[in-house]
Amino acid sequence: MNKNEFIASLSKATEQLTDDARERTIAYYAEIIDDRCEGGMSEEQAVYSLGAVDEIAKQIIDDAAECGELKQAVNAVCQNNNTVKKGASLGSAVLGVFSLIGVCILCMIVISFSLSIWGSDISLLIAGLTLVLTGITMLSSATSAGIFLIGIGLVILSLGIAMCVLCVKLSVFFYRHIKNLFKKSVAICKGEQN
Amino acid sequence: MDIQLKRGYIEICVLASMLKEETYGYKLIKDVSYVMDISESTLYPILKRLEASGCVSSRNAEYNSRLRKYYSITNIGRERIKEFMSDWNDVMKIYEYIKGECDCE
Repeated sequence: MNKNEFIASLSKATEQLTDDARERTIAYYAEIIDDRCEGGMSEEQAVYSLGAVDEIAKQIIDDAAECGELKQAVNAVCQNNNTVKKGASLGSAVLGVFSLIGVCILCMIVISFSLSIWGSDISLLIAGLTLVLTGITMLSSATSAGIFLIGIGLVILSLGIAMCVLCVKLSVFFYRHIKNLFKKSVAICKGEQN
Repeated sequence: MDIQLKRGYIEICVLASMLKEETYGYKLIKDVSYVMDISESTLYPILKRLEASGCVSSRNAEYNSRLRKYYSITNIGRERIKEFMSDWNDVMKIYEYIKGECDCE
């Protein structure tokens, strides 16, 4: 089979496609054959290497059906498209705006919550550090009271450090989830969400 | 390899092969074939989808007295590659976990 015969067979086997889709498909395969021929193959070899026309056509039609590029599908869609599209896009936009508002409120709650926890963390760290330092200065005059203060200070300091670690993890967790929620809301706004 | 998974990988390979310069169908097949088996029939719908999703743009240009379609990656396509690369760490973690569980058996 030469190039023209292949193109004619493929064109016939893909009659279900819209004219535009069929034209693009034929141009693609014609270009591949030409490029293969320039690469040193004969027309027959180039066509043979592409495989059976029926299989190629089947794959193209299956894919076109998913993309709505079949003549029947386009006709059916055209009948309903305008009303459905308008309703869907308006609905998506409204839903998207509400989602965005929700995400913003959540964001504010999380930020205020985080700030208050970070404030407590810093207070704990400062208190712990102060107690340890006071304990150290008291060691020479009142040893037992100094040791006691250092102990309490270290406990408070480690509590502060543990809370800091927890806060960092929580902040990362919330940041990731809020980012995802924001992306989803924007996608809904654009009507990309199913 | 699972068909959907393979399709996803081919999409990224196709996008990656456009990073340095614009390319065309036959060259894409030759380039991607180094890492994965790919045929013209597999590439065609992938190119179509990439173009429809805005990851790739195309133009027809004359070459040796005939038209050839050249494809270029867009910013959306570049973002797609970045996302794939960042997801890869998660995929590797899952792979290591599964591998570890398999080794335990």
